[in-house]
Formats: sequence, C-alpha cells, structure tokens
Amino acid sequence: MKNKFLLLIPAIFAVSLTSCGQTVSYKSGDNYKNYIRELNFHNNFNILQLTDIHWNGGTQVGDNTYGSESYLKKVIEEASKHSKGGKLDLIEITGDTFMLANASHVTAFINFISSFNIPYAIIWGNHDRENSFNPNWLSDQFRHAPNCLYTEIDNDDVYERSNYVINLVDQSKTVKWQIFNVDSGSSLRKGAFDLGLSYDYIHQDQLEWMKYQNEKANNVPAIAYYHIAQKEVEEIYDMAQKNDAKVTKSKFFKLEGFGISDNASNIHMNLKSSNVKGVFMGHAHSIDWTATYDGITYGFGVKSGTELYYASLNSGMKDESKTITIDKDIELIGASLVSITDDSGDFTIEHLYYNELMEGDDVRWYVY
Amino acid sequence: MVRVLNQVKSALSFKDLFKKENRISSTLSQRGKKEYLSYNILFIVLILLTAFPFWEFFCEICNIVGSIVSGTPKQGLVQLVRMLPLFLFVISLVYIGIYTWRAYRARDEHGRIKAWKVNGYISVGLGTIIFVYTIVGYLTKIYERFVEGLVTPLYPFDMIFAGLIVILFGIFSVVYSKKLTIKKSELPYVKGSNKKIIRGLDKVFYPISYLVGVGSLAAFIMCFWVMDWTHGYIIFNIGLMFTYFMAFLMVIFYRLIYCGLKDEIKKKVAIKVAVAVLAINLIFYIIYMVSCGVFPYAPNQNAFGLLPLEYTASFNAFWLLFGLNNIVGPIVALIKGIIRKK
Repeated sequence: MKNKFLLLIPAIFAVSLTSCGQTVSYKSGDNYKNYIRELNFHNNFNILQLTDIHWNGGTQVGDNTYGSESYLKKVIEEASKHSKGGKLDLIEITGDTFMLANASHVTAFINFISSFNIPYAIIWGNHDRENSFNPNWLSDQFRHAPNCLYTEIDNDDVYERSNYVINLVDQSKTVKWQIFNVDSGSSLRKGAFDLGLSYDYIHQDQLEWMKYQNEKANNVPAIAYYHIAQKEVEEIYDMAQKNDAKVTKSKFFKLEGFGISDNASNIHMNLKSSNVKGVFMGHAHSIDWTATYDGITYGFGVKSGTELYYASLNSGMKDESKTITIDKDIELIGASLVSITDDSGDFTIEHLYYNELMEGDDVRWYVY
Repeated sequence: MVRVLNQVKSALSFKDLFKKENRISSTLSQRGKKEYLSYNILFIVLILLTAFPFWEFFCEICNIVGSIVSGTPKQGLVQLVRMLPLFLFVISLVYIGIYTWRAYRARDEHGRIKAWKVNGYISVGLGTIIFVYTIVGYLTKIYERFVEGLVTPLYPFDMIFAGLIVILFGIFSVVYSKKLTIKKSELPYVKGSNKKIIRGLDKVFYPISYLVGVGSLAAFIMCFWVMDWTHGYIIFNIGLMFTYFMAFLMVIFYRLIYCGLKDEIKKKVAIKVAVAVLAINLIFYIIYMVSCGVFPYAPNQNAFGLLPLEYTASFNAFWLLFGLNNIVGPIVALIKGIIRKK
C-alpha cells in the first residue's frame, strides 16, 4: 500500500507540471481595440527616442537638478527646442529604463518624465524585469501614470507584456499612422542545464498581432519600437559592409556586437506585411547605426545617459557612412528624433549627441 | 548502499534531535546555557540583519562589474564611490557572522578569546571607516543630501547608524574577550579534525554556505512580492522558492540544531540527517530543473528579479550554484558520515 502511494507521487508531479503552464485567458484578435491608444496626428509629428537609461540602485534620483535626471532634462529640452514646431509630440522609451533598481527609482522616474507634459510610451527591455519589485507592479505604475500611454493586457495570447499600438489619428478619427510598441522579451533559455543564456526574440504571435492591428487600421504606414534587435539586422549590417545595393543607406556608429538572439524571427518580411517603414531599437549601448534595407529603415537609438556603460567617440573617428568625422573626444550618449513628415509614409531621423563637458555642454545633431 | 539504508533505519529519530538530553546545553551550567543561548540569538539577529543588505550588495556588485567588463570602468567607479558605505556595512556584517561562528566553534580558550579580541578591533576599524566615509561623502558632495534614499529610504544617512552599530559591536567584542580572560567561557570547545586540510575545508565551506544561506533568505522572502504569481508557471515558482528556502534552512539547521547536539549523538544521526536533507533538496531542485526544461520562459516571466546573476551576466548560474550547495553539500556530509561510521 505504501509503495503504491509512493508511485503516485511522480504521477501527481507529472499532472501538476502539465497544468502549470502559462495562463492565457484573453484573445487579442477578439479584443484588438484594447491594445490601442490614440494621439492626434499632424504633419511633422515629432517622436523622441530615449533608450537604455538604466537607472539602478546606485543612481541618484528624486531631484532633477543634478545627475541622471538633470542630464535627461537637458536632452528633452534640447530636443523640444530643435524639433520642427518647437515641441515634441511623443517620447518613446525603448527599454532598460531600470536595472536592479527599487520602487523609489520607478516613482522618481515617473514623477520626472510626467513633469514634461509630453505623452510618452514605454516598452520593457531585458533588464526592466530585473528589479526588486514585481513586474505587474511596474506595469501598474506606468498604466496609471500621467501622460503615459503604456498599455498591457494581462494573460493574453501575445507573447510578453508591453505590446500595444498608438494610432495617430486626424480630426475625423481616421488613422494616419501606427506606432507599434513591441516587447522583445529578455533572455532565451534553450535547456535547463545550458550555462550561457541567449537573448529573446520577437515571436510569431507578436508579428501576427501587428499585422492584424495594421489591417484593422487600413494598412496605414507604421513605425515599430522594440528593445532587442532581431537576428536579421546582423545580416543587413553584413550586406551594408559589402555595399549590397539592397541597403540604400547606412550611417552612424556600430562599436559593439548587436546582442541578438540565436533565433531568427523572419522580422523583415513580417514587418513589410504590417506596412512598417521604420524600426527603432535599443539594447546595444555602443550602437546607433541606422540603415535602410528594402524599404524599411532599421535604426538603433542613442543611449540616453551614462549608466552602466556607453561608447566613447574619439577625435578623428568616422561613422559607417564616412560622412561624420568626430572632431573631439565625446561620448555616444543623447537621444534620437524621428519626425513624421506627413501621412505618405515619409519621416526624417536625427541623432543628438549630448555631452556635459567641463568647458560647457557639447550639443550636436546629425541627420540620417 | 545497503549499509547506508541500515544506518538510516537504525539511527535515532528526528524527534531525538530536539530532546534535551541529546543537546550540549543539557551539560552546561546556568551561565554556560546563557552563553550558548546568546550565541544562537546573535546568529539569528545577524542573519536577519544581513539578508537584504547582502542581496542589494550582490546586485550592485553585478552592476559595477558590468560597467567594468563593458569597457566603462569610470561608471563602475562612480557607483562604487557612492555605494562604498553599504558595501563595507555588508562586509562587516558577514565578517561578524563568520567570526562569531569561529568563536563559538573555537578549539580552545585561547582561540575563543583571540577570535573575539582581534575581530573586535577589526570591526571597530570597519565601523569607523563607514561612519567617517559617510560624513566626508556628504561634505565633499559625493552625496548631494544626507537623505537621498536610493538603496534604502534613508540612504546614506542610515549608514552613519550602520557604522555606529559595527563600532559598538566591535567594542563589545573586545570587552567580552577581556571578560573571558577573567571569567572563563563555559561553552564546550570543538575538537574538530586533527587533519589540517579538513579544518581548512571547514573554514571555507561554512562561510560559503552562510553567504548562500543569507542571500537565499532574502530571495525567499522576496519571492512573496517580486515573483509573479498571476502569469502561470506555478510549479516553477514553487521549485525556485523552496530551493532558496532550503539553502537558508540548511544553514539554520546546521547552526542551531546540528551544532547543538552532543558529539556522540551527531555520529548517530549524521547519515540520517544528510539523507533527509538531500531527499528534500532533490525534490525541489528537480521541480525547478524540470519546470525550467518544460517551460523555458517561466524564469523570464515570473522570476527575473530573483535570478540576478543569470540576467546581468547572461549566465545560467542558478542550477550550478544551488546544485553544489543543496545537492553536493549534503552528499559530502553523507560521505563524511559514512567514513566516520567506519
């Protein structure tokens, strides 16, 4: 009897394993409108991308007169001043805003970024989940923050958390552009015993969700923001290096590896079918390289601030296009600005390198 | 194997571990009992006090090492300068935790007095550095305000008190060591092995499992609010949570229960205890490993914040570290028990 009872233990364990998978109780297709936020569209719609801010346990927070907050304040004010029309319409924060941070950093960041009265969207990077608070708590803070467009549908059938759309609409509420915010996940674990972890990738259900959302918006042009570059970006870079005619433009700096997944997501064809014209990423702090391939522009944002690590640009250094020559030692930190020209699918890109130097702030803009 | 099973069957029951007559405290005078109880209370206070600062320390070290290996040592240095009082406080707490254990497990009177005295002076030194550094840090604008609130709501102001605590403990240690020269300790001394290498291994293994236990206590408690219990993968959550818990429990069990047994009782129960601990650890470890294999996204979705080394360094370290601590540790204890029985 006792032995029979012991045999039951692995059976119960096996059953509990099969019943303990991910909870999925929400179908994105039936409820597609719940993923959508709206902003009013106008020509020269300005989107500032901040990325890899990396606030951590050692970052001074709570007073935007010094340190990281002061730096970001200067960057946002400079970008506002520089933008066509003199104002930013949207700030996109593309992941790794926090790393090993605590709740006070989140509260301080929300107070800080909300104070600009500019609508902002945030997506999660790999390190945003790596903190001493619950990921649901983090989501809730941004869901309810002033000026924040963050949307997350709990337990849906779209992989990961920060997947939502910002529809840019005209006065008659017709969608003119779509801004996709996509969660590119964190790490990829191939087996329980593997020592090295790869990075995650954008899953097929996310790409299908984008396509569905775009169809519902009558296939208007779109821009996508996510954190981790997909494997295909490396192939585009290699093509650019070989002067492949399909890569029509290649500019700015690539000073480290892309930090991509081992898994491919067939991102390019999927983005094309969702009518995406531009893709902007973060994750690799020492890369702001941007290239146009087969009608889609793939761009890395400029790391915003000095937390964790950043690249140095030494005097005499040239970018991938050889059109930018750095004239003095600076750091590759700042932000990037996308300005949607009109509803035809055109936009411009500019990178801001903002350096606080002893002799005064060094501010420079480079056009893509 | 048969011999091990026979020894497990014939060994004392687990209830016997708690019987008064089997514990060293039953042989002690009133003063000796007080001494014994004080060591145990001190151990509990220290492990509780160290757990969360140690976790924060570990995370910040990951950050700093990350900056250095990524080619921006300047950024790492900036963080180090700001976090130094916290780091020194954690180092002091861990140091006190280990030297009080060494005083408790001293081989002779001289060893116990020396442990309290020398380490007391070192504690006073560490505490003074924490205290002075925090004040100088404020005066030299390393900290803009006395209460910036980054690691803790009162940081770095609370580090002044942290420094004082370490100084006071150091003074207490020195005074206590002097008291021991006048009135001898009545707590028994630990003979230990005559082999230098075994004594050396003991000196290394306890601090390692103590550190793993301290971190695991913080992680286990954090499981209640950092872990996502709404996303599914509950079986993974249970595996991770109790693997952490067992790492903590092992230290508590060893220090408070096992070390408090008479030597002859230890010999009788060593194998049984090692088998029981190994069996429980294996259950949770297997649950963790199988759930990671079946649901590779479970750690990402539910417990990213509880596996800092894995995600800062992209190094799947948990199974290796806790395999060594929770599985290999009891196996070594089991082998040691078998050899001792022979």
